[in-house]
Amino acid sequence: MRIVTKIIHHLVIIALLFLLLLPFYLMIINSLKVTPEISSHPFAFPGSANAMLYVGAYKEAWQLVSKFILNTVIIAALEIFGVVLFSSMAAYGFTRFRFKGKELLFTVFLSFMMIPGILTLASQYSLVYTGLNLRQSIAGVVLPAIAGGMPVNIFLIKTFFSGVPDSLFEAAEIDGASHMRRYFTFALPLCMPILFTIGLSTLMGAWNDVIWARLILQGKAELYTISVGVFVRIGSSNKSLMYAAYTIASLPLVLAFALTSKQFIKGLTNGAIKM
Amino acid sequence: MDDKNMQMAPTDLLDDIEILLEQADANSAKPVRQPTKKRMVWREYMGVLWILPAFAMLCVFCLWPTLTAFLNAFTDWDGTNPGNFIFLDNFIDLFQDKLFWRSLLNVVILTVVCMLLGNAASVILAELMYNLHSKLAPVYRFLFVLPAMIPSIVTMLLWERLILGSSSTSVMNQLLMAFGAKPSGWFTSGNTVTVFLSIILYNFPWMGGTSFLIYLAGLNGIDESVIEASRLDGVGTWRRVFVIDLPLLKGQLKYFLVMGIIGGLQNYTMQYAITKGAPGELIGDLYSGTMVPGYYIYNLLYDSSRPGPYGYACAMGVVMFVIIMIITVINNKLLKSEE
Repeated sequence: MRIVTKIIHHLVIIALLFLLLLPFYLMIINSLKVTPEISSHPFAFPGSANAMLYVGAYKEAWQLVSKFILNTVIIAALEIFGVVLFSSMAAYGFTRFRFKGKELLFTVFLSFMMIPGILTLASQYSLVYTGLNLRQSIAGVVLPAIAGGMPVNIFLIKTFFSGVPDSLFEAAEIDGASHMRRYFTFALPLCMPILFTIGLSTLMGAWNDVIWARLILQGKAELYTISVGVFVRIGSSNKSLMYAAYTIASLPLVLAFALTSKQFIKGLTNGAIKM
Repeated sequence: MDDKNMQMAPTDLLDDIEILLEQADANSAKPVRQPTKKRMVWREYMGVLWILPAFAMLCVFCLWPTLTAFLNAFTDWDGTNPGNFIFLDNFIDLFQDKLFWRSLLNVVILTVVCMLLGNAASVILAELMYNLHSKLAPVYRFLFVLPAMIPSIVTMLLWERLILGSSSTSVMNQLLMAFGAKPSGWFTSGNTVTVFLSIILYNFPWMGGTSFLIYLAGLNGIDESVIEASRLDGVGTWRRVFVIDLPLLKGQLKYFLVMGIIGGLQNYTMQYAITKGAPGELIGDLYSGTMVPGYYIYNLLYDSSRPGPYGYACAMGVVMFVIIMIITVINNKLLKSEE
């Protein structure tokens, strides 16, 4: 009886997995077929009907998509650098100094967690596109992303800093270590886990963002990020090319996850809430 | 000696330690000199410098857009030239705008349904995995999180083309035909109910990679002894889920409930990528069937037919902000009073 429930348990999970992964399975097998065969036999295994395993589409798709991947990597790297540097510096300022108005300033930062993006979409777009003249530039994508993530990231890092015993910093202070040194040798290394989490969520944000990136980069295809490029530049006329491009677009994060899944999973669950 | 910001000159680690020890000795020998008040305050204000870069960026890219959004809600701003102050005209227009009311209704339905389905699915999956004592568990967990790594736009387009595609070879249409029903156009069916159904069916079985992981982490965080005690008392797995697991997951549930509502009310990726607000009645030059406020605002950015579209967009943003604030406050009150 217990064996039976156990088998059912596994079967339920496998059925759910099948449903969840079905679209991606179909994506991969269809990327290996020629277009007419995709239309007639979308579920058939590649090579089953009248086409052999077809890899020709990947070459063409790679030429289209590789540029977008590179752009996204550059944008994500700049965002992560800015987010990690500025947020951790501010969090250090908020934990290691005592000055008048500090609490108020921190509350100002926190209160921006309450400002929904839907409120500022029009005004922020006008500011970045026209006011600051950052249209069709990487800065127009990167800077608002860094600023937007700031409130929650400062909050997360500050919470982490507060967990570090004061005595550690005080000892370093008595020993004459400058703030710079304390920041680089104690603060940053100690909050590595949360920085990793923040970096990960920034990366995934850059990877998935299509609306803002397209608003800013509109008309400059050589700067498109992966999501924008796949959405705008990959048409559905050549189906094998389309599915090959989707597959290539999906690979980088999937590979990164496959190689470091343990850290990834820790990173994904770390920032949130121990309640 | 009293300058605590003093740079340490020698770079050699051993030298460092030696000097640190000396300094520590010197410190313990002499009574610690109280820095004069003025000096101490000045030094503490250096903290502002550490916060300054973040604060500058916040001012430019968050504070300024927020202020201008509130101010321009009362103007006929067109996005480039400053607008004229028109009092409450935008808000009066908004309350008479059929498309806005329709989009509000749509977004409430979609937010509530998708949030409930998504969280229920994630919790159920977390329970399934928590109760599974098997060597395969890490493999399953890995595979369940995998789809979260695929760009969401790709997942959407795959669903639109392969699962809920309008051709007779899409997965759902094959299923329908196997049961003798007629194939449907799904997203392109032109029927509002069918398109709604497609949006809701999208991403079935609905579990989110991150939320599943966090629920699972929550379950794993439950004290073994509690589970053990319940087992000794003869509490079955089903009852334990409701009596022990769910109450202990309340923090996580609350988090995803609030975030789901806030995010859901603003979300319009599906409209942006697939439905374009269609089908349904055309109001102005926009479809109303699956229109949501976010996508309405997005369209106003390019709207040349209406005078002062940016002012109108800001007014709509302000209304959405107020709605989101009210819901957040009520949520917090309700969830607090339960404790």
